[in-house]
Amino acid sequence: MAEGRDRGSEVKARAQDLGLLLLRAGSSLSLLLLFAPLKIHDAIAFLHTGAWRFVDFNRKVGLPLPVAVAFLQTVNESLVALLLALGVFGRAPAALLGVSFVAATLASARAHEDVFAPGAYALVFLSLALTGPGGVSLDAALASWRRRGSR
Amino acid sequence: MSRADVSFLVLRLGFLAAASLLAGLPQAKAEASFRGAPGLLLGALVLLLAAGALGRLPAALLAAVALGTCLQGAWAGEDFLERPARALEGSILLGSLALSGPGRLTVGEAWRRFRREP
Repeated sequence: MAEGRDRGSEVKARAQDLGLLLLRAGSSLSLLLLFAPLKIHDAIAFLHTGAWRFVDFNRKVGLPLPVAVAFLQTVNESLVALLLALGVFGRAPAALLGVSFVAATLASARAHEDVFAPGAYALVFLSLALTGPGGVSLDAALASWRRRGSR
Repeated sequence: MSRADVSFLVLRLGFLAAASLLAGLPQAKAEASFRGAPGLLLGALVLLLAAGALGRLPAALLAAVALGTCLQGAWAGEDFLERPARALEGSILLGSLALSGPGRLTVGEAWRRFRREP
């Protein structure tokens, strides 16, 4: 009986880990594949031309350091999203992305633009900052590898 | 109650808030799939999901609807970064809720606890 209960909670934990993997990898890879390439392309073009619509948008909504914010968000949506997809550095990548997308939601609201897309990302990343990367992550794999090594 | 339970509650309620706001938009009101019986069914599924009722079923059904919307938009040649991308995001969120289940912060669990400790 107790064994059956243990097995049940193990299956539940495994399902939860798989759910977190889908949420983590799905949301960060969608950022990385759908939005990051365009931002990286525009960032490189900005270095040559000095024109970037994202910087103009940041100026329009009154964000401080609009160029730095644009580059920071590009790093967030590429490198930090990749770290989150892999599940390294614990909650930090999710928290960083969560905070940046809360700012993006507020900026979009200020500019009277669509708040649903950045709002949904903020919700997902803040939830992931609460849960951590889960059991199916590079962090968990490294931890179990270290445990095995110390035995 | 664990952090994961709080996180799943945040996701479910966040989805309810987003769906309620979206349903109020004129574009949504104009869409046939949000009116009449299909609209009512979708609304009921969103409410069941937010309440955490019927386990994984509401999330799984809504994930299938979102994925269908994404594929339909992509097939029809819509700009993928607009509606299909949002539907894909929704299907990822809902699919993860369908996999992990609603957690322990649900209306059913609260009712069971209330019955146990009146």
